[in-house]
Amino acid sequence: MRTPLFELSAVSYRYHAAIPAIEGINLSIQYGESLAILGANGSGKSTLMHMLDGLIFPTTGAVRAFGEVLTEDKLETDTFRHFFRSRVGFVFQNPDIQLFCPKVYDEIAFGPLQLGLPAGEVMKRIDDVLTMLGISSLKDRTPSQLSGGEKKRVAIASVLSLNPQVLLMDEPTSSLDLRTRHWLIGLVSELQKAGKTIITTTHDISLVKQISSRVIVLGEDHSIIADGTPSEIITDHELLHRANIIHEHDLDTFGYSKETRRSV
Amino acid sequence: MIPDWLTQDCSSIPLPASPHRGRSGFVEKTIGNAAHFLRDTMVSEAVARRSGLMQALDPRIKLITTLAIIVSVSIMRSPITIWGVYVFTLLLAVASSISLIFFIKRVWLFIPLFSAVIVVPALFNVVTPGEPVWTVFRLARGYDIGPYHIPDTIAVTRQGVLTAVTFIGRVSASVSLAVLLTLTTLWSELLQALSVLKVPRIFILILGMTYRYIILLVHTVYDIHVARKSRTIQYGSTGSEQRWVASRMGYLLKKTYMLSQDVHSAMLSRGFSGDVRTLNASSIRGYDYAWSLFVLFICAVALVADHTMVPW
Repeated sequence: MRTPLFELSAVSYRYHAAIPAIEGINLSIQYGESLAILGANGSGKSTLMHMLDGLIFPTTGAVRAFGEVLTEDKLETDTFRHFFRSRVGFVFQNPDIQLFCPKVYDEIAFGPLQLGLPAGEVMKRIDDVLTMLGISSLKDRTPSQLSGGEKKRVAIASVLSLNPQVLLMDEPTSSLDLRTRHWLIGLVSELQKAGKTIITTTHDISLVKQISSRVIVLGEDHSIIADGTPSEIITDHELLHRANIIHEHDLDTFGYSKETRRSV
Repeated sequence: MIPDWLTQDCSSIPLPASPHRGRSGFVEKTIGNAAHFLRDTMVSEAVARRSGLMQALDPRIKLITTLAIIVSVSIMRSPITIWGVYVFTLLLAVASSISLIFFIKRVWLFIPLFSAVIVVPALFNVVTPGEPVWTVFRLARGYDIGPYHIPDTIAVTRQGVLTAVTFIGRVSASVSLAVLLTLTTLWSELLQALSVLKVPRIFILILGMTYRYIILLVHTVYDIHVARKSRTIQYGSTGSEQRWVASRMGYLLKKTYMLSQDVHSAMLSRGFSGDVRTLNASSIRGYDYAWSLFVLFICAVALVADHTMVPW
């Protein structure tokens, strides 16, 4: 059997050595999986994503990526950093963090250039990604001249130009209008068909069925309280209520039965 | 669940009797200036995106030729050639689709501020001895203060006027060229062009990020101010206003620090290792070479003319 893409063993992380962010996480993610990490605000979703991207490291436990233990030292070696960063792309929740270059064109070029790709290949990738995401007209704009939806598209483009095997997306649909949200769902679906591993965090249960084939739920105690298919998770009202993902007032919205409502 | 006071009509609260106007203090003014900064930035970008003589040039060539003209102006001695260069900058502005009134206003906004303080004393015989053209007043006798001699007649001298005209001409021509460069070049391209002066790439990257995030933080400052203004019913004392501003400055500093950490993570995530790599800039075209030769010719002619003119 193939080694899992990511394997987390008893992983915990505490901010300032005191505030728990994630607790005792055991998780295995396979190549080509579409995983949604569902959880309320403050449950540790973003922390987990930062850890999967090798930006922070466990206080206790271990994270393995591509069969290797992910450590700060290992990511400082040129070979492993090149290997890992070219395979894992992270779309941050706040696109303003990610768009640090003066122009959209430079932003999309940044990743491929850091990987040392030849200029011709970098320019081809930029043009292809701009066309694919329908943002060619934005290439000479500065980030401050973009709307929220445009910033999100550019942030995704800046990661896709790396052609990562794994795409981590932190709350990708937050603060997006409906049209951009549907565009994003379509894009994720296409990337899934292309064999990419997509890991998405969200607290929006209406999204999980559209973008994932597996869902894990982080509870308010910062640990995994459920792992299953989207259908299993979103029909488990008691679980979602316990994880503070739905409120009893949402039950009508999501079509739960009268029995369900009574039990909540 | 809702407390009683929340259900009451706010019209029961009496309004202040006096039609006293609230103060709009230095906070308002600072925010106003920040908004001006943003607007100016947008205006500059709009001008840089127009088609025109300077906009069509490669930013590297534009930077080098602009510096060449500024250096030439700085070594010229005759006010005629110096003011000739100033007129040349006005022609360049017109050829670059820039409104002449806008351009002159933008340049002359700075010149009185910076040069008047320096140049006004030079007009008088106290600083620049010479042939008096206008006597301001007479003293009972002359004075010697340390190395300085104050004559009994304080007057504006011909030499002083020429010094002032030369100085102001030099400043206005140099500032005009700098303004022309920044107006007709996108900020991002201007930063990239610095590489031709051997400015390290990491420095250029940091400058670009600084520019990017200053705009973002100015928006944040504006949002903070507006959020407070929307809930301000009574202005506090000067002390409380100052405390509020100081606390928001602290908050902004903390936010900036956190932002810098997040941005660093975003850079690491896309493979940044401290070694900055950039795309090679586009190649220099015939138009750029022609412009360079033209500037070289203009500078040479102006310098020769300057040195052959009768000294003032």
